[in-house]
Amino acid sequence: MASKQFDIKTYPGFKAMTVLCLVVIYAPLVVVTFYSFNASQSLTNWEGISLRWYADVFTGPESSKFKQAAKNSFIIAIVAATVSTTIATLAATGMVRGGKFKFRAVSFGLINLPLMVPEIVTAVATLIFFNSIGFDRGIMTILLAHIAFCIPFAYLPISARCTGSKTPLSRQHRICMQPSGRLLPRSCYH
Amino acid sequence: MRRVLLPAVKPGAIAGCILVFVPSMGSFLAPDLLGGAKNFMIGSLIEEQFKGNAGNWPFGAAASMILLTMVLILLMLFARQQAKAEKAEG
Repeated sequence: MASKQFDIKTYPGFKAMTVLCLVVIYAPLVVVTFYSFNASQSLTNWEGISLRWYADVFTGPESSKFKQAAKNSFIIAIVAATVSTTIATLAATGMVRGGKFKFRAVSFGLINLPLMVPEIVTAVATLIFFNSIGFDRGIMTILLAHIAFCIPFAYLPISARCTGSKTPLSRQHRICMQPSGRLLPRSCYH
Repeated sequence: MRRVLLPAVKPGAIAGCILVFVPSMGSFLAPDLLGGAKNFMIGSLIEEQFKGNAGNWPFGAAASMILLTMVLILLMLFARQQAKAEKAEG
């Protein structure tokens, strides 16, 4: 049984390491879940199970704040995801199909810069920029900064997919894409 | 281990280190919550300069530029080393 010899489960310390990692990562989550059902306001006293805080989030004095915040988060997430994915797809198409052009490495670096630069530096830079051009801070500034920040996160998987399927994609593209830019019916794909 | 495993995972391990190192250098929320008042990180220091009225914007801007420079120098070293390794492999 040669395969049994290389079974990772038989390595020394495998079990201990697994348990340690799982505990470190998930124990805090378990504790938070547990305490969200606590009837008391304090973190250290346990006064029994209750859904009081869950009801409070939706109907309590802070609920209007929660609704506003949730709405903002949803708007920003949806718009930022849509716009940055669109831009990233365009960028990936250009980078993959563009062949060897001047400043290719530079463009790649520039697209991925927000990923390399620490988050707080991007935030500070955007803040000072908006401030210096007299742009009031609000949902619009959050949105713009988010789109800029999220482009590399969308770009990397998209370009990886494009590169991986480069040949079939360009063949499909040649066969199925009409000069007008419209795709032929699906039956032509294969 | 030293002859087989480490050389095999070396490029991935370096990339992984970079991926962890850069956000760790800049992170500010977790250290703010977990570090207490005495344990500052650069990220929270910068954040503090831009919050409320007590902060000093130019100081924060300078601090963030220094942080950026440190990270970029590291990334450049990494890129140069990677290019060298690629050349060596042919």
